[in-house]
Amino acid sequence: MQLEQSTYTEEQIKQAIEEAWQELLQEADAEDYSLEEYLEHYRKYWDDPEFPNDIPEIIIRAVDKLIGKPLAWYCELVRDPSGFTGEYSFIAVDPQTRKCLTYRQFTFDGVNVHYFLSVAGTVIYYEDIIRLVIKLLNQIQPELVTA
Amino acid sequence: MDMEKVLQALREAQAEYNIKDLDSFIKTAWEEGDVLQAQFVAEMVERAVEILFGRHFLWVHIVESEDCELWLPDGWYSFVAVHPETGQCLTFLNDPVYRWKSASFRARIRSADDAVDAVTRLAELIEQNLKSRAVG
Repeated sequence: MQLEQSTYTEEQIKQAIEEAWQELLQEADAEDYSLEEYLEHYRKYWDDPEFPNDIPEIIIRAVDKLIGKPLAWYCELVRDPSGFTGEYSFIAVDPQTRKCLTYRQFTFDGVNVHYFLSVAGTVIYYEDIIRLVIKLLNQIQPELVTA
Repeated sequence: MDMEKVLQALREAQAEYNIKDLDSFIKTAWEEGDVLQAQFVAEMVERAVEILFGRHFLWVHIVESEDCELWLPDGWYSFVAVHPETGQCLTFLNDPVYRWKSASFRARIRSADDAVDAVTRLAELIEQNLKSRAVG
């Protein structure tokens, strides 16, 4: 896993994810169990409306920790006609500048411009959380520098 | 926000989407759990706001659902608007009550009156953000 345009190591990212998870456990006054154990349940029950889906919260908190300030966030659990797909779509905004940090535009053919407001990724396993945090950092970090 | 202008913008958006009875259309969307129809409600609200400002924005919306599995709309919607040139989030809200600052605007739209209220509040929020410091 390579961290392009980022100063964070994989170890730092794992630590931020773990801290975020521990915070959630404390706030919920829940028993001490590992994120891996939680993910085992998550894979079985993610479509159950009663299941407390903490994945977006973990990712948001981890990114906030690594960046060093809380951003304004919007997260969508992507659905198709058969239900939740396992994909999460994030929008991050810098509270100081109000700049949408996940906004980008590009063209494939030099004529038609495509606009993207969010960064998305599927989470099934622990590695997917790391991958999505990295994806978000890679998009957000350069935007923060220029903000 | 001028109420007459809001009503006029909604009427224009309604006409663009070829909706005859707005109240009934919106009610059906959540009472019958019609996701497609609820998507049109969200798009129509966005379009009405664009008509009010006389320009296009970039949008993301969620048709919310209580039932994750069946995805039945519950009459709640979330919107994010972004300025296409500056990348400024126009639905940003700094709410001191909550720990997090919000990037989205949320509204319950279960009737034509709710739609008027949603367009009014959404337009006011966008206006506030447009008047705020521009992004760097």
